[in-house]
Amino acid sequence: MSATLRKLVLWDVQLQARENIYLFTVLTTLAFAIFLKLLPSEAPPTIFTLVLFFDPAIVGASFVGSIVLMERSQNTLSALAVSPAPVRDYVLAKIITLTLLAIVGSLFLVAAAFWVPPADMVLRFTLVLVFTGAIGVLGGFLIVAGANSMNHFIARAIPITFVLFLPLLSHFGVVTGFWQWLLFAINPGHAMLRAMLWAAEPTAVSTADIVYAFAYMTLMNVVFYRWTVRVYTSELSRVAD
Amino acid sequence: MNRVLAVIRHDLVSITRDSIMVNVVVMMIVVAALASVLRHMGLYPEWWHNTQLLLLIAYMPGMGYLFAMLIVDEMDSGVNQVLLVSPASAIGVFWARVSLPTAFVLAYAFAFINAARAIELPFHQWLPPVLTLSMSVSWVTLLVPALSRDKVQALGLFKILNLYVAIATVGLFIPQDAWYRPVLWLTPASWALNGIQAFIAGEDAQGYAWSAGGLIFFGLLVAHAAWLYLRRQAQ
Repeated sequence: MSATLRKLVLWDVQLQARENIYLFTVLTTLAFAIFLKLLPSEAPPTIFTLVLFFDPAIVGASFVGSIVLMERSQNTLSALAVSPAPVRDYVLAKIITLTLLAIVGSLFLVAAAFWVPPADMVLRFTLVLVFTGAIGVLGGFLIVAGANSMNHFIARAIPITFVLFLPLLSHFGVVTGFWQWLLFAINPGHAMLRAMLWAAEPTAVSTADIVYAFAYMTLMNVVFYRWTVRVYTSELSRVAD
Repeated sequence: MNRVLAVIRHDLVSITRDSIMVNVVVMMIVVAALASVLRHMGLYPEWWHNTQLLLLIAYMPGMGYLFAMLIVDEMDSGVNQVLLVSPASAIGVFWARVSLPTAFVLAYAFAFINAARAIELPFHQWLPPVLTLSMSVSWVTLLVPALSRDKVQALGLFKILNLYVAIATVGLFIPQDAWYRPVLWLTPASWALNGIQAFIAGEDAQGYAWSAGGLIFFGLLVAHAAWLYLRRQAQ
């Protein structure tokens, strides 16, 4: 990790603490934990993964949107444009901090739902959350790019969220077999749900599911990362001009 | 009155400028149409009841959030301060911003109930619990700008308020006699759900009692939020 990236990570941690993002995440995580505790003990792992998918596993998606908008209004991006910090470090710092937040919050929920969770389950979830957390943050970056208000950001996020949630039809067995692949294989939400289900209950998914989920999430992360760096490089050069 | 209408017109322009309202309305219509088609085709009947109640609860706080974000954006940009010293009555603007989204969610709730027809209850039995649920709109609209310093805090706070309302849906999935069920009474949305469930079971008196209790409970929360909001505005 370069010195600039380290400084940006520390700055982001300070910013997120000052904006009470950690406090809000603690409170929402506790609410989700209560939700999970109130569910009947025989609730299937699909319910638990649904709860993770609703927010904790992609917690950075919404927060990064509001942070970027706030930084724009406070002219932080203008300062960044004339600083030696590269755009990729700015993006990476937010991926690191908000993905860690997703991992910590979600693992707390894993502990609440499966107390005492076996070590291999914790490892599986940690691995999956690295991917889902990063996709969430990068997705948030792309949605907020060019948005001029929080409502504009939400306006863009609504149809995307709707599409991302469609694979729940496969998750709960409404659409199965060939049709689930035909309809949802291209949807990142499907890959994330498959991966989380594998983490919760490895026998619930096939080997093909696991290979697909990780290969597709890796591809999404690479594509989204390159796209985000390009978009924000362009935005910052406009700001500098 | 004209000045308040001008503010409301400005709100509607702001919302439509960002396509937010179009997206929200389109999504609501899609959901209502989908529920209606599934119901009339007789598909997945075991899902109708819970899905209708889940959807009824889920969208309401979000509508409050849209208006709350308008106010937060105005606080950020200084428009709110200008508005406070303008001839538009602060109380008039306050009422307009609360009643407009509330009227919208009420209209949609009954359109959705009639389109989906997943739970057959007469209008006078739907009205009290739906009114209770609709109070989440004004609660969120007022509390988010009252407590948040900026957009990031507004979003974080909304997530908590939204969960506080949505957690009532747990009641749909746990046994009726579960010893921990009273924990859910800590959220007024749960009282509205209990009211609907009582009406479905044919226990009208209980249905009205739960709904009235929920209305008072949520009314107190809204009154508290209004006090915090007006205090913030006065500062």
